[in-house]
Amino acid sequence: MKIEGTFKLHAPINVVWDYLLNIEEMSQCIPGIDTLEMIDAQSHRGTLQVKIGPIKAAFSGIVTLLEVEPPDRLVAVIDADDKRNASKVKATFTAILNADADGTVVTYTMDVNVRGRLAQFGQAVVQSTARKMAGTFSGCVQKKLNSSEAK
Amino acid sequence: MSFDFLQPDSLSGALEALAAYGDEAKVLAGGTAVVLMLQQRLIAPAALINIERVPDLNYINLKPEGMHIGPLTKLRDIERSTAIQEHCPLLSQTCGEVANVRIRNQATLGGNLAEADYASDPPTTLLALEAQVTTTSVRGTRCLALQDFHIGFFTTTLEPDELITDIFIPACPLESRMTYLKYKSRSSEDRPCTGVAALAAFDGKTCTELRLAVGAACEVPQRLPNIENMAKGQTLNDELVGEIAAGYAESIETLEDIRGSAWYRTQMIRTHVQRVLEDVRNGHR
Repeated sequence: MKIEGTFKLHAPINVVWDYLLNIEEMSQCIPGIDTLEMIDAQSHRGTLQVKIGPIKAAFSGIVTLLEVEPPDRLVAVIDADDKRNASKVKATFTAILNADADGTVVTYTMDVNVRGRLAQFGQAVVQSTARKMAGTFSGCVQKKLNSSEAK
Repeated sequence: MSFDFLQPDSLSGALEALAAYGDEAKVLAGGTAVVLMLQQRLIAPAALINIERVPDLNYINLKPEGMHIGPLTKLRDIERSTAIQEHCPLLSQTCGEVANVRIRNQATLGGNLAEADYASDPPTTLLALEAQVTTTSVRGTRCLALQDFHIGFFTTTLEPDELITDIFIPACPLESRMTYLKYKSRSSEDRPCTGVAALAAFDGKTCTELRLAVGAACEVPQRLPNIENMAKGQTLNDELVGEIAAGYAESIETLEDIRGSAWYRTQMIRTHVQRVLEDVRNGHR
């Protein structure tokens, strides 16, 4: 399934880009993230808890940066599983940054493949969960950018 | 899989158990949803709190100002209640459309609201009926309008320590006609692809109030007051019915699942809003 969305950050494109690529900083804004450790420059291993409808899922897996084209294009692949729910998720994540008059518009596309028990939740439920997470994420990033600007 | 199984025999016992376990507990009412999720190992609660033995949660009380329904009231009992059939036929009709008689003998109205499955019939009708949900916890009692209760897919504003303790349906306007139209795209016992509930009050042929709710095709059931108001003081002629149906179809963001695509659901909203308005206008219900 495809999950798409945009959010806007009130900061110049190069500031946003640097922030998003600072994985350690950026990951603090991902809702539900438990741990994230660096394997090498391209890969990180992490765990993420997310509530999908009535179900609490805990994913652990690896995120690999596939294409990094400063300052506007980023592609990553995510390969994770949730042992308790016997489910696997493979996703390709693409983010495109566009500068506009008063900030940066981030457009993201996720091609998600869910297998196992969690797959019974259709696109609608997963998409809505993802959209809410993106909203929380962008709000948090904006706050962090504001506070670093203030310094 | 293991969990504590609690069977409190009083409301205070149930609320204390909920306060103690909080988010880690699941409440078991009729069990038609929770037991399935347990069987499929989709949920792993630390405690299952069976509220079946809690007294005074299963009732249908008719008052001049409206109807109070206990959360443990079975959908089948609502379907068959002569009081509800007489004073609020829309609700008995809707509950009678849910799944099959075996499910309706087991599923409760409170459980249905707490689960907040979008593919369900009663929430749409309860929205049209302007139902209010009372919740209780050890901290106190709250009363919420249904649109403030269902906020997303399987998501309510019910706090982890709260239990639904009453569902109130204000008395329907005099001279009103009402109906629920369930559209199933797969089998006769399926959940709805689209559900439309309408209640219209008339003075002669003039519509004085219209309440129109659409559910199952969108994340939570929706009413569109701006479009409903187009009917006020008008006769529901074919042209107006068409405009209202188009307005609902164009305004509601539809979802896609196994029962139909987003595009398909938009068409089904248009068709079924039109049919439901024709039914209340022509007095078929």
